[in-house]
Amino acid sequence: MLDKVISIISEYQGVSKEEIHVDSHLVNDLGFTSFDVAELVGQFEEAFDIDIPDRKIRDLKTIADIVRYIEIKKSEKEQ
Amino acid sequence: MIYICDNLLDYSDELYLKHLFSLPAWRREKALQYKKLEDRKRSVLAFVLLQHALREKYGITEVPEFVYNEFGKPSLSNLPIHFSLSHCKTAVACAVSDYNIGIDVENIVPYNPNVARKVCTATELKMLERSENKDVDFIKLWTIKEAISKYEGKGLSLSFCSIDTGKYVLRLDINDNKQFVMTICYGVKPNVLQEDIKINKITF
Repeated sequence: MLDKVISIISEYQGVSKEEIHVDSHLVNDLGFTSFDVAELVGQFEEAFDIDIPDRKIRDLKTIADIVRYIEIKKSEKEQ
Repeated sequence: MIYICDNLLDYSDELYLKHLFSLPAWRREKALQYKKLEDRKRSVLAFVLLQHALREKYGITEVPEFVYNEFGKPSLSNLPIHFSLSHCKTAVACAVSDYNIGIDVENIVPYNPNVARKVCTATELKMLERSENKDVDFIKLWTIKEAISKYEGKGLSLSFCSIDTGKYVLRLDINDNKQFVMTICYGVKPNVLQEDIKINKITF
């Protein structure tokens, strides 16, 4: 899961995977704009077959936030 | 006052380093937090534009450290001056005013219906479906919502679908060669100063 999230972010933003860590901040470290974040969320939805409501986007600040949220959504889906 | 720099490709490494080391330490640290050089350059340049604007409009030579509200909107501590900064891949913009203001610049990219569905109302989506230039029309809509969000100081915490764009006074510009769209939000029934409408282009 973490590897896949990092791969998507690395490819989108052109930052090497080695420079992306679990506590990396999308905006402050990786240079994402709000628009980038919105596009990225779309990629996560597709890659993990989940729905991320726009109100939730504000909480996805770090890689850890994203991984945690996707895990919760996946487990909800399995139940 | 609005300042924009849209020739980022001409912003040399040499000039960037000169600017970087002229910044106050707190801002330099923020710029250096970015992994990519391009992001560091945009961060430095945004602050350089702000320094320039504050010096020109208010005679302020030292920019105080930003304070942030709970949603991350920056302001100048103890100064009744409002500002807003924005950047995209090809441009950096800065708005400074006696009144609250929000600015956003965004590059025109291929229309992405998945993003549109997330941030647009049903009416806006219908408008986009009919549009013959979806790429530009969607980015116009995005920058409008983002500028309003920055004006309101709520960032991404404001649901873009719920923004009533019609009640705000806005200025919208498409760059000469259509590389990007810039929108400025002046609020609802605002006091708009003539100087807050004029756009000053900064080049290197």
